[in-house]
Amino acid sequence: MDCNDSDREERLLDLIKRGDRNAMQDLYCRYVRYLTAICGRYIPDEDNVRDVMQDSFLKIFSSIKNFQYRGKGSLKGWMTKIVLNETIKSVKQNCQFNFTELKNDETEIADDIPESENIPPQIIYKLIRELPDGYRTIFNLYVIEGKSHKEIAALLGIKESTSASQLHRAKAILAEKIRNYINNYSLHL
Amino acid sequence: MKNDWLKDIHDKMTDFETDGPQNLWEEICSQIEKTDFEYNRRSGKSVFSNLYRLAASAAAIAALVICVIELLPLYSLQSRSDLIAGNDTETTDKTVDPDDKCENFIIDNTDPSSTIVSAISLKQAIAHSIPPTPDHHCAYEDTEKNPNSVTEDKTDAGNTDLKTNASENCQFYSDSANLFRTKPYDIGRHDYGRNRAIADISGRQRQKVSVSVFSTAGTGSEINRKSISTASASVAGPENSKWNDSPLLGILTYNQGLEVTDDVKHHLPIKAGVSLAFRLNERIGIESGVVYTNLTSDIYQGSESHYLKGRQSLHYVGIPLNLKVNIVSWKGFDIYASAGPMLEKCVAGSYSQSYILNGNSTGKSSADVEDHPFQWSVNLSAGLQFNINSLLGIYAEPGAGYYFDDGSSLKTIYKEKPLNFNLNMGVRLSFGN
Repeated sequence: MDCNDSDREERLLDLIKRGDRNAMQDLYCRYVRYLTAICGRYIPDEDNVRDVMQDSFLKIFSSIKNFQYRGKGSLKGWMTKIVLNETIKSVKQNCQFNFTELKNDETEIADDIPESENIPPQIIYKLIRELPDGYRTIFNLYVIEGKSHKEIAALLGIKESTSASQLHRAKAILAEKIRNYINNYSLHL
Repeated sequence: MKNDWLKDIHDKMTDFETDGPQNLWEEICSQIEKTDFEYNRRSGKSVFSNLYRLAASAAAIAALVICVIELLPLYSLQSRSDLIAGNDTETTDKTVDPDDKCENFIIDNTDPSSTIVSAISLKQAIAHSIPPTPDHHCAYEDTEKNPNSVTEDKTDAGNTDLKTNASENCQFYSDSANLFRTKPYDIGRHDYGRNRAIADISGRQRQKVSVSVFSTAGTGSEINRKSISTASASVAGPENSKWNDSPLLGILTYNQGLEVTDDVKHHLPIKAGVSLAFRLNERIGIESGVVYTNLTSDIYQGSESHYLKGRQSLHYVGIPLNLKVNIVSWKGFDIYASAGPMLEKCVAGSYSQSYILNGNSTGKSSADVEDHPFQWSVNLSAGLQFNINSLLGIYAEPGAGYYFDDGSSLKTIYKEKPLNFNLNMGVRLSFGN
């Protein structure tokens, strides 16, 4: 029940604020998979994911004393924000945003929309990780995180038009990857 | 339509989970411990703990202020009558004999507590602006140096018929002279608590420089004695004499039959110094340094209209040596004990006095204090320090000091009360690594 989950979470938070190490581990175990998936969408290298996750959890535990519980989902949302910040920070440090103007022949997406509904999430996750660095970041920020081009531009230090054009390119690449996967999967059936 | 697949991807990725990095939790744990992550302490701090620290700070500051206010007023000590000789003096009628090594005295032994030094010796002393010193038991030396003054004095003395008793008078003169000297008022070694700025270099885990600033909070002293002057001075002189040459005699003369007051007020000692502490281990350290002490005393003698006012200022330099033991540290409070000896020396002193007759100033004199004794003492104190933050702490050190006889003829409060209690309070700044 939502009430029980919420109460349980709030109690867990109180314990963590008092320095209960078991409670901290409980929190870690509860959310590490979800948070790793967020980080992994942006960073394909596992070692980098580990580093970012470690930094993120250290930051979570160091600043959790200032966190005010505001109901179910508030803790998850707060932790997600921290992980995203650390992830974007790492991406900006390590990735080269080689944005080039699209050529005309690349602006068109293929007419057939990829049929992604039958593709398992872990495959989508894998395919997204295969996108080139800059495109992957913008695709994640726009499609998954729901940020606007204006916000993306501010976050990454690029122009809005660049964000828009790169998203267009990212979608095209991902769509191609999905189609290739479906084709390969069909061939192996 | 085109964007349906994007929505599908969004929905699938929003709650997607994957395996976390292996052994990540162990690495996080070790990182927390490694960096002395104060998460457990700070995250567990509640609003109540903050209030507790605030209340403790406020209480400590209030105690500091109250102690300073309460202990500032001076309190009376015993009479200074023993500073006044009058031991075994004989009475009157002594013949003036300038060849005697001692001056002439008029002695009234009816009231041992009130004695008079002869006009001659007093006038000489005053004329030369040199208060008689115990080292100068007689004014004979003055006489020799200034024969003219002797003649003048004798003239003013009129037809006084005096006899001298050399040894007794010398002793009497010496003791009586203490009335007007600087040395008897060297009360200052009474430790009223110390006011000092001390820079400690003490290390805990690592070397830290500590600067402590004291506020003086201790016990002052005031010696007040009232009596009726029964001086039977038979000095005759012009009635309209302004007593400029002998204001002290004038004071004594005018105060005959009046209530006179011997009042000594000892101001709180002011100390400043630098100390260095070396930590031998986590608990024990040795502290030494240099301490300067200033002792000021005010003297008031006479009645309301005719009186002598003097001020003595003494300067001591001392070297303490203390063993400091940290007893317990708990929640920002440190309790420690400190004990050790201190050797001080009076390096300079001065005394000045002014004379008031009928409300008018009739003379002033000043001189240096020549006796510079050593003063040994031992101190034992306990200290309580509250650390407001990593930089600032306030502390109080109640303690006791025993002051050994300095072997001089000076009469100080330590000779009557060798054991003195004091309370030192201050602020200590710690900075450094």
